[in-house]
Amino acid sequence: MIQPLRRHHFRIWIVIAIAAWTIFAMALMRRETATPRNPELSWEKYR
Amino acid sequence: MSTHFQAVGWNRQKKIYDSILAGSLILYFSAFLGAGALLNPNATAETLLIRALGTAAMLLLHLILCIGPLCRLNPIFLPLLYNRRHLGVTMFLLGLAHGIFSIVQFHALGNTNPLVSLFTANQQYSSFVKFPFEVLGFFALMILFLMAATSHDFWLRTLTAPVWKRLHMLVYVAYALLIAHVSLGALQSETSPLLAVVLGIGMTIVMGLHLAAASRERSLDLARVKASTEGFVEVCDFNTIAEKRARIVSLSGERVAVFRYDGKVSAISNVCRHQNGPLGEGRIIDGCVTCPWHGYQYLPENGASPPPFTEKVPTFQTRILNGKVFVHPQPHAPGTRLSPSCITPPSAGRCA
Repeated sequence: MIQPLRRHHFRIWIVIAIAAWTIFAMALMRRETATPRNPELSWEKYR
Repeated sequence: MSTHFQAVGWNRQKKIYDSILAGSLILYFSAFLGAGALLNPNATAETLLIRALGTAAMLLLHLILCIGPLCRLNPIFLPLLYNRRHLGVTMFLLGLAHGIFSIVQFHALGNTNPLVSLFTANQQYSSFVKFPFEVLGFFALMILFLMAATSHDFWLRTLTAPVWKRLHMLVYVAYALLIAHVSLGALQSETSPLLAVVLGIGMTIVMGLHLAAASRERSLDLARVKASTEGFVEVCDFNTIAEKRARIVSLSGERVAVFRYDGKVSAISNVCRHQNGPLGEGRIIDGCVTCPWHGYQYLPENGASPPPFTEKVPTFQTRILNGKVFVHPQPHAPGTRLSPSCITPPSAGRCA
């Protein structure tokens, strides 16, 4: 790899590491309860 | 390395590589579908298949993204790099199948065109957790299509290596989009913590490896070389270079590979013309410097591929004085023949 490309790689991965972890952590923290209101009911049965 | 193009240049190694890949995918699908049917008996076959395809594509993408930095950290992983394109195209096909099945399952039963429905069924674009995650997956798939379609030496030659490389660096954008796609999609409805844990581990490994490899490369770029007379710079002792191997040194902002062979040294650019592979990490086979990535070859004296091949890399003047190797940082035009320096006699500095 040529040096400018190596520099770009380094910077890109720093940005991705920050952005992806932020989205992942926020999505985990802000997610609503995934437990169905009626656990006996499965929508796939009624398609 | 070839003078003409064909769809896939099959050889024994490629066949073994693809057989292992196909076998692993069959095993993965069997295990996923079997365990899924047992643990979630209400799930339909379509749902399980969508999940199996999506998770297989994500696992494969993580593996693909790990191969590059692993090879830079340890050459033992180079055989994985050799056929990485096959993994990439397979991953795109798995992602495409996941997308098609998802559109059929969730967007094809109404009056709206399924592709229009993909963008309009959920219009909460200003929300974070309710963002239409399908759109993120769609754009990631478009990038992966572009990459899979150009995963051939014909396109590499047509687009030129710098353009092709930059185009394929879009995989990082696709990766970020897919992390968001999974985080705002499957992760929001999944009751088990398994998916979040696996994704977190995968992200840590991929990002950790890339940052570790980049730091290592950076330290090599910043390494200082000793100044010398007449513009030549001291690189290392002749004896510290293994026979038919190279020492890589950073000169004038770019790397140079200094090869030792048969009591001589020659210096050429470290950058292979094919895909910018590190020539200095290869070795001399049958008298030719051989790129460790895809086997492109160059003669050490002139940096030119042996006929009928036409690739050429820049060469650098060398000198040996008192057992120490010196290189002039000024590159000569690609393919310029320069006499190799010789260890004997020490006073002469050049081979006859």
